[in-house]
Amino acid sequence: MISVYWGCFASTKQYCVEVSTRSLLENLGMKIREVEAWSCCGHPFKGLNPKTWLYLASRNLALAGEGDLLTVCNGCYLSLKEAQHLIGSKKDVAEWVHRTLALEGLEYSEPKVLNPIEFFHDIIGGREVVNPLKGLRLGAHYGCHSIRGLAVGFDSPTNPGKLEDILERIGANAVRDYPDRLDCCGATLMAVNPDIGFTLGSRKLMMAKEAELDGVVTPCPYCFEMLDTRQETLIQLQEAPDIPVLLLQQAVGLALGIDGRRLGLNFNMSPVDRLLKNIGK
Amino acid sequence: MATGFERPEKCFQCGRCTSSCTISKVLKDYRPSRIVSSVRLGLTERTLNDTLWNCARCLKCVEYCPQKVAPADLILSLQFLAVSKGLTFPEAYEEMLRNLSETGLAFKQLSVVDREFETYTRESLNLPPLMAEARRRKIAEVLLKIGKGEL
Repeated sequence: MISVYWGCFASTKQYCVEVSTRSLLENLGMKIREVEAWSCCGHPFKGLNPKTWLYLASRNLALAGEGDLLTVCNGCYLSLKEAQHLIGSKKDVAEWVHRTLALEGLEYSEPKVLNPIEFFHDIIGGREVVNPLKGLRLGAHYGCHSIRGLAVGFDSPTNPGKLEDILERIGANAVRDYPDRLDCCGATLMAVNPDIGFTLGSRKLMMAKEAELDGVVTPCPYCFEMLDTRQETLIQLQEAPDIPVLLLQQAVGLALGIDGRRLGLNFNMSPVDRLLKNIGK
Repeated sequence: MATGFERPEKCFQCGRCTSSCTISKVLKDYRPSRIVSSVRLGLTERTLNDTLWNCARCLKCVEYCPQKVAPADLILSLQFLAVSKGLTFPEAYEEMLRNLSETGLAFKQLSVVDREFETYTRESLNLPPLMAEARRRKIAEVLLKIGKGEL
């Protein structure tokens, strides 16, 4: 049994995240502990009121219990890790959290919060890759909140490699360095200053094109929305190139032989058919 | 204090945060090192304006700072200070706050159209339902207390 924290983006619009994660975990023989009461992780509200963030983050940690908690969004991952750090290091904060959670009848707990990169990296080692993504030049887009920040650290923040390790494991030609590999996709700016968001997003696609990547793989629903769902907008407004974008769960699922529809691949708006044709799908 | 990581007093103005900043590359006037320096010099008021909301939260400044000042975390604290003083914040956040009190999530549940122009919902994809009404109301109650400063 594993708990999966879905987060708002996956729960309300990027359905391919939940569809692909469910199919992949089932394929790996893992049963999901269903939690109906998950709420927002609080991440967007940190600057508006830190207590709003802390209550939301800690109530989800409480619901997760003590085991592994796979967190399928980078923003949520950072939010939960930072809340754990703050609660663990400041006694008055911990007391406030206990008091506030009691109002909802919840008790704080400390699950092991896992990003999809570290989770799948450690789990697919011994699995049979029935449909290797042979010949594909794939680049990793980690997304900022999986690697940077003082509360996270499953990989190097300045030269990570675990996502590329996964891509190699599933038979792709992982391009370990390309221009602006670790740069921001611009998604956060969409709420504040969309022009800047579009500039940053299209720059990521331009660099992927410059490195002659066949596709980009990301674990984050926010980055996925920016680079895949909004790709047509980036092409129209910024003359960005068209580049296939896959979720990490979709790439791994394809390699393990899961059907494209069960990975929600029909929801990708970037030209993923181009990739699928290359691997005989 | 937001995340508790910020340490503006440790800044020695090397400027690495600004040189690594995603936004400084596209917005010439946006300089995290200047924001940190204002706070360090006791001129915090000077930083409280709309500029603060341009932070992409990419955390490069946090990563590259040799003094562990955590400028991005300081900027979150300043956003909160600005909001507390009644200054405006981006409208998109107002909508997220509304969604949060109504649904417990920052976004509204949508129907989504796929590449073949078929429309899907959580129900049609056989995804489990989101939280029940009673739970939503309980969360909204706690959030309201936090908003009023009672917690």
